[in-house]
Formats: sequence, structure tokens, C-alpha cells
Amino acid sequence: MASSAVSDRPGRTPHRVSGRLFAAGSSAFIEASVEFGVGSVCLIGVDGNMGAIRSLTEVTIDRPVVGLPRRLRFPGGEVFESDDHDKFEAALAYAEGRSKRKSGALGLGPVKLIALALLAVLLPVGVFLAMPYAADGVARALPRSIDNAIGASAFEEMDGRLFRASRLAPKTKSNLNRLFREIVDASALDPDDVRLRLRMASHKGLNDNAIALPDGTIVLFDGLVEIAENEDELAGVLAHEIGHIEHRHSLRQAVRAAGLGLLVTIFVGDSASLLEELAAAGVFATELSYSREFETEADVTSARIMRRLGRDPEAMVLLLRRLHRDCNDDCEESGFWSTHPGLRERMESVGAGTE
Amino acid sequence: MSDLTAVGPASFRPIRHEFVFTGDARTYFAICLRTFLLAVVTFGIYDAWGTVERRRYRMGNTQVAGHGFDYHASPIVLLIGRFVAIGVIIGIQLSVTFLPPDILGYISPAFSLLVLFGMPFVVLRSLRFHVRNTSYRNIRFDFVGGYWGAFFVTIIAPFLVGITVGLIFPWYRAKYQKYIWNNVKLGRSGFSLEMPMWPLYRAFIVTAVLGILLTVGYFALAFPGSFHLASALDIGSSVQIELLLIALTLIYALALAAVMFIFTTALRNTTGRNLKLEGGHSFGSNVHSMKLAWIVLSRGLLATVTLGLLLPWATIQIHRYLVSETALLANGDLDRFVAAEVDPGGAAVSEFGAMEGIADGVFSGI
Repeated sequence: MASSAVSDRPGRTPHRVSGRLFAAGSSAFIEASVEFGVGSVCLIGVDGNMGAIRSLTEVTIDRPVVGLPRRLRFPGGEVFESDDHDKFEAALAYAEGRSKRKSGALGLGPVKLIALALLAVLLPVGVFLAMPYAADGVARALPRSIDNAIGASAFEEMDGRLFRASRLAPKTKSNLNRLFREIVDASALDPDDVRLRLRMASHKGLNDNAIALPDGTIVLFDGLVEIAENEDELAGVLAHEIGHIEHRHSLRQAVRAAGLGLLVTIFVGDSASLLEELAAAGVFATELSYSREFETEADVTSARIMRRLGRDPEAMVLLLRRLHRDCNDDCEESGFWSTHPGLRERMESVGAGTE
Repeated sequence: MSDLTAVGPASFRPIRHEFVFTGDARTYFAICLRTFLLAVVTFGIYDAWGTVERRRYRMGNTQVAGHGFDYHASPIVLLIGRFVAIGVIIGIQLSVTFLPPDILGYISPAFSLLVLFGMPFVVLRSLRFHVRNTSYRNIRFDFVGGYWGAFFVTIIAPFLVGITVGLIFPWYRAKYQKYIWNNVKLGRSGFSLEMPMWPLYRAFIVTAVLGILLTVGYFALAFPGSFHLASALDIGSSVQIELLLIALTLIYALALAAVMFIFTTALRNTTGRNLKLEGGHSFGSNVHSMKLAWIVLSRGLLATVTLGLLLPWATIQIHRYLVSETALLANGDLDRFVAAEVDPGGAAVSEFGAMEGIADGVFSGI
């Protein structure tokens, strides 16, 4: 198409690049040149004889790598390579009708490199901050039956093996069951949608506690019942656990953890081992911050339910203070490595919204 | 005419060509920095291109007899492989999280079998992908190893090593090297490797004896010694003893790592010295174990403490040393290699082994 651009007049060959030519499928090569025209390229032997003029669309030009020979592959399998990067790039720019070279020696100019570096810092930070919201959106879109699937039969798995039978009096148990129904009815949960149930158990290490399993099972341990001084304290705890179920914290934690794992894989990848260690610690700390966020959400829900029932929303925190009376001020403040917020903060959470 | 014919007419005396690395750490660092930043802002997608570019830089600058190697893998194929790998990981995580334990009980043995029989396949395909995408002087390398050979060296041989408490480890490593090299071809010319066992066993025994001596010495010093030493130096505080122990452990770990290089170097040199290429060509390898250990450990340590910033520099330093101790003993000129199939050029380049590239992505992803 642009054969007129090819010139073999001596001294006027600005777009001619010298190099070597490998025969198709052979390791033997001869010295040769190529001459670029607008949209075309032509082989020239060492004797000055011209080969066929090829359109640029017919040949393949390997992506350049700094300092390595430029390669041009002809449709017949011959490969031309040249060590003269500058001349090759200039001739190619002419052939492709570009006024400027595509890239500098390092591929990018300083301004672009700084902009890129800035973006490379801001983007992961932004994604990291936005991820919990996206993960919660994913969790919300999943049906409630998924929650059941995560924790299905979790209680049955642990019961008898990890948990021992509750030693509470039958009357206490029936009182607690009645209290539980009262709280469920005051919650935003649809009792038909979730298999809400209360189980009482005893456990050596976990006895001063209550846990919510994702399928709607709430396990209340004997120790907590024994230390409670009034019904409101236990009601607050049960309402807190209902809060975990209502806000689907198990599922959201799982989705957020998966998102966090994906981000670390993408941005840290297979780098030096020390960076991976740091990333692992960062992931752990971030997951704990999610945990504290969820605990606060459950506290706020607990307070809402308690107020609706005309009960004292702060009773639960008073129970926790009594439970942790030995740890003095340490339990009052949130720590970087704690799963729950400090008691002072939790008191503020349950107190907030009081008219 | 080839530049090599200038050396002399084809004779039967081998011509020694040293391998040289012509690149530099600065340029490589710039390539790594740019590809890393682009990978970050594209959520890792660009890393497929970056990986190819970095490998092309390293291989292209690895030269022998005036020519470098080239690498032709298609970044798109690598990318698809990585997506598949991420899909597999997410699938495993989701099934572990959401499937009830009784169903998982059925799936996990099946999954273990899949991993057992699938692993050699993935290793083989990944290897073939890299080898087939490598070329020298316009001739592609090829890998013609079969599945059961890969199964033997990745599953059965390591198992045998286990039941013989490691005594046949040198045999296993030799077997692995032979499986690889006896199946590699440069165009139509095959490589062949016979491994003498004595150099490997000698290095293995030296490594094992030194390793045991170091371990015994470490425990003898670290436990009772730390207290005696503490009282002798009149440093009673536990912090100082702990620091002493940490220093001792660090020295022990480094010394043990250095000792390990005795065997790996012997394996590398023995492989290099016994490797033949059809046409009467052979190779030389003269790596010094302690020099390599020093380069790898010191550069590796610096790369680690700089959180990977110096990793490109370390990579080049190690690569440069290994390359510089390698030689090709060519029988005449190197013009006579012929491609197995004439590469029709252009478009066909990226069609080589799409499946292999995906397997490679899966392998490196997990």
C-alpha cells in the first residue's frame, strides 16, 4: 500500500534497521536489514536485494523489553532481530504513523510514574475501606437459609462433647425460656424465618458466657445465670445475642474475611515473607475490629429491645462489670487485640438513644 | 554467515562458550517497580503481563555464544490460569464454610484422591508450558515427558524417600533431574542426562554430618549453656539470656541453611556436567556451594528486611552468579538446530499450550 516509502537509495534510508535474519525454524542466521514504510515493512539482504513488501498487519512485532533485541516475525516463519533499539523504535513509530515513541527507557516518564505510585497507594486503601460495605451487601443478598447452612447442627456437634448438660433448676429453665420468647417477640426477627431456640448448657472454660450460633441457636451457660442478680441482666444478654442473629454477624464476618483474604492475595501476593507476616497480622487486627463493630451493633440492638420491653438496657453491662470485677480498668477500654469493645464504650452503646 | 564460523572451521574439539548475564539490577528493579505498580492499580490483572516481561528480561539477558533466550508465554493464558486458581480457592473455602460436615466427610477423601492424581498432571503441564515457551536462536525447546513419569517423581519417589527415612534422597533428586532433562528437546535435538550417584551421595553425607553436628552443638550450647554463660558473664536478667538465645538460634539457622547448599550445589553441578545435547554438545557447571550460600542468604536477608524492595536486586545477583558458572561445550557451530515444527510465526506463538498455561496458573496460584 505504501511501497513508495521504501527507498534503497544509499544515504537516504532513515527507516532502515540492520540486524540478523533467522530462516524459518532454523538456528542459522544471516545479516540483513528491514526497511519500514508507512504501514509496511520490507526485508533487505546484505547484498541490497529487497524482499517482498509486507503490510504491518501481516508481521508480528514482539513486545519490547528494555535492552533486549527487537524481534519481527514474518508470516513465513522467518525472524528478524535487531539490537538497535532506538532506530527500530523510531522506524516503527514512523511506520505506524505515530509522532512519538511509545515509551521511555523504563516504560514511563517520571510524572506518570509518580501518578501511578500515588494511585497504587490510594486505590488499595480505598478498596480496603470500602470492602466491608461491599461484603455486607453481598451478605444481605444471600438468603437466610445460608445462615442456617453455616451453623446447621453446630450445637448438636458440640453438645455432649464440648458442652455438658445444664445444672439449672427446671423452674429457672422455664423462666429463661419464657424470657427468651418475650425478647424474640420484641426483636425485628421473623420467628418463622429463623429457627430461633435457646439452649442451656455448662462448660468449663466458657461458663460465664452466652453464644449465638448462625442458625438461630443461642447457648446460655450456667455460670452467667448464677452470677446474675436480676432478670433484666440476663434479658440484656439474650437480647444482645438475638442482635447477632438479627444482623447476621456470622455470615457477614465470613464474607468480610473472604473479601479481606482476596484483597491480601491481590495486593500482597507472593512477595517477601516478612511482608506476608505483616499482612497476616493486619488481617487478624482488621477481623478483630470487625468483631468489635458487630458487638457494638448487637449492644445497640439489645438496648432497643430492652427499652421496648420496659426493661433496663444497662443491666447487661452491669452484669459484665461484675463478671470482670477482677480486671479493674483493663476491661473498660477497647484494645487493639480485643474481640469486644471496652465496658465503658459498651455502656455508652446501650445508653445511646435514651430519651 | 554465522558469527561463530569465525572461530574456526567445524572441528571435533568442543568450543567453550561461557554463559553470561548481560542485564543489570537497576533496569530490572525499574521493570519490577513499574509492573508492580501497574499490577496494584489493575487489581493484579497486569501482573500476568509483568510476570512475562520480567521473565523475558531475565532470560533474554541470559546469553551463551552471543545469543539470549526468549520466553513466549501469553499473558492472557497466565491470567486465565490465575482466575481458575482463585476460583478453585474460593470454591474450597465456600464448601468448607457452608457444606454440612456429613457431606464434607464424603467429599474430602475424593478431593484428596483428586489432588494425589492431579498433582503430577499439573506439575507436568506447568513444566511443559515453561519449556515450550522458551526458545534459543529461533528454536523452541520442547518437553515430551509423560504422566506416569511425572507421577513417579512427584508422588511415588517422595513416598519412598519417606519410608527409607531420607536415605535415598539423592537417588530421588537424581531421578527428578533425569525425568526433566531426558524429556527436554531443543527443536529436534534431545537432551540426555546420566547421573553418577557418588558425587551426590558424597555431598549428601557431608551435608547430613555437618547438619547433625550443628544441631547437636546448638542444643548443647543453647539449653544448659545459656544459663552457664549467663552466670559466667554475670548477666542475670532473663532479657539478656533471651537475646543470647535468639542470636544463637539465628546463627544456627543460617549455618544450617548454608550447609544445605552443599547438596543443592552438588546436584546442580552434577546435572550440568553430565548433561548432553544431541549433536555432540555438552555443558559445564562450576558453582561453589559456600559462595552461592553467601550470595543467596545475604541477599535474601536484605530482601526480606526491606519488605521485598531489594528482591529484584537479590534475584539478579543470584541469577548472575549461577549463570556465570555455567558453560556450553559446543561441538562446532550452533547453526544446525532445527525446529520440531516450523513455527509459522506470528499468531501461532500464543497458541502454544493454552491448557499448560492454565495449569501453570493454577499451580502457582495455590
